[in-house]
Amino acid sequence: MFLTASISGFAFDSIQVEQRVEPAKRAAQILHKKLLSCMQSQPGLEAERRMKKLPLMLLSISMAESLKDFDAESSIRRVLEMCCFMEKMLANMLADFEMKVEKEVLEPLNKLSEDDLPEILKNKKQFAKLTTDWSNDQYSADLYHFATKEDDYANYFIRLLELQAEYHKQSHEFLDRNINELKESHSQKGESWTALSLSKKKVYGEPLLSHLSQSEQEIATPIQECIYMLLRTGMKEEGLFRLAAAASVVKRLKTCLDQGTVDHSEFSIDPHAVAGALKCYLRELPEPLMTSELYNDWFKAAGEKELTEKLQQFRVLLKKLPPENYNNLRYLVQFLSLLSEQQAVNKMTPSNIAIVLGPNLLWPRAEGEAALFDMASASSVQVVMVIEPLIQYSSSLFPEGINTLLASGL
Amino acid sequence: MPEQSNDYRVVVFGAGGVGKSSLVLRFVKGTFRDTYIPTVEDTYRQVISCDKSVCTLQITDTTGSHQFPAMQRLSISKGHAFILVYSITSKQSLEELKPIYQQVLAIKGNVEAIPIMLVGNKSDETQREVETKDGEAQANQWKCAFMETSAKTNHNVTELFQELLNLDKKRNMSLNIDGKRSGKQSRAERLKGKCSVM
Repeated sequence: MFLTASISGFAFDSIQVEQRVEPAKRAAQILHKKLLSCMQSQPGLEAERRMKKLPLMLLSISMAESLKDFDAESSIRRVLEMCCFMEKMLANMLADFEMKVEKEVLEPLNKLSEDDLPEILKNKKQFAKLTTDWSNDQYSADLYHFATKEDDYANYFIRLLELQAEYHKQSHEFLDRNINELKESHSQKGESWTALSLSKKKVYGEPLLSHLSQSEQEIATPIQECIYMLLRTGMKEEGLFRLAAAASVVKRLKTCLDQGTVDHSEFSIDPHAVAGALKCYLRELPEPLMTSELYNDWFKAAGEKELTEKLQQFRVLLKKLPPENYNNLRYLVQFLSLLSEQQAVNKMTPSNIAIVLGPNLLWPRAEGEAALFDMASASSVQVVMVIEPLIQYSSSLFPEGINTLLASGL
Repeated sequence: MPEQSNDYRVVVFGAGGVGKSSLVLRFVKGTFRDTYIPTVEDTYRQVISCDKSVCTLQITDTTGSHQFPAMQRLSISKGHAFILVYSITSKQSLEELKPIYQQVLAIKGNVEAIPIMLVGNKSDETQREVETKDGEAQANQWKCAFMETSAKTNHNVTELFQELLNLDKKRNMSLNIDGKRSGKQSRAERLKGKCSVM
């Protein structure tokens, strides 16, 4: 019953099925060929060698070679390192994909077009010639086999799509994951670089020398920038360096100076804030601009009654200053001298300037807080005796004339 | 706590140019200088009566132009009473007092037992930036006394110092060295409307 029914069913189908064998063979043949040409790797090779010849792998290798020319801090290098690895992984996935396609699609297609189907067709010919029971049975079995396998054969193409999907998904996920990581680390690198450059540029509280060598300037940024602005808008301001400015503005200006980006127009309208930021810079130096080493010598010289002798002693001390301190002090004092020329308007005489600014130029080395208390108090009075003549006799004490940078700001 | 000595130390704080020295000099010497000289630090002494005896009122006029925390802490720890001066012509000068008040609070702990007077000076000036009620509000917040003064026109200057001494409840002090406190009542009358003790 079963056999008959199936035979009769088969008999019905066999003509239809028979007509599919030839197209199936052609399809398998041509599609195998075309699919093969889609392969980027050389078929038949083992995974490792196959991967090496992939264009992606060649790209990866070129990246590896190129990045060697960059220094370790270069962000191009850092990104290329990651790209090199990623392209290699993509090549790896591609090779893996192509091997799967080869095994699960190409080989079966090949077998189909070169072995299985020709076998059926051969049997068909025999069947046509002999029509023997054996060959009939054999051919029927082949057709039956083909018929039952047809879905499987169709599945090869589904499998191809599945493999492609799988490969693309894997690549995509890999790319996605690593691109984010790369972007993150790149931007972090960017931030840390910015932070690094900020910390490099941080000027408040930094030793004068290290700031000057880092900024490759002769005059400390806050001194130069603040004076530049004050020369424009602060010279006639009553009580410059005496009156308090809005703490928030001073703070913002300090931040800007730390970062090396000052909007002159923003701060020039607030000379007291500019003066405040300049005072802060001088006060926050780890060592006073006129140096701790010469602290006592300055007072000794200031105590000299004979003016000529006093100025002579000052000149000796100025020569003893490190060149960086001397340059910045000269720049500042020459500016203060210019400021005092406007005393009729700004009321800042050399004495007044010395009172309000002097303690920011020279202070005692802290030897215990208790000592600092009384010394600070006493030195604030004394320091006026030092700074006032410095400003008053600026042109005589700094014979080089007005600093060219300062002059250019005029 | 400052040691109980014969000196009663008053410290005057405030931003640069608000008139601390002018107030002190007006009080101590009765003069007003229209010169422009910043203060480094000056101390003035005057004899006052204290608990049926006499003591020295020591007034420390601090610099407003450079606040060195160490110096400020020292002044605060030594001081018995504080005058916080701003200029009514400068909102910023009132702002400047905030860190100083915080410093006093930090060092003295309970400021309610410490005589503190918030002073709006230059009340003669017409270009006012700080209204009287703003100064009162600040004093209210700080739980301290408040007064507007003019060292230039000698308005409320003596009253400022007497009121400050009155704020100290542990001592009975008067600017009059004869020890008579008879003037106190009438002075209090005079101060009405000019001075508010929070």
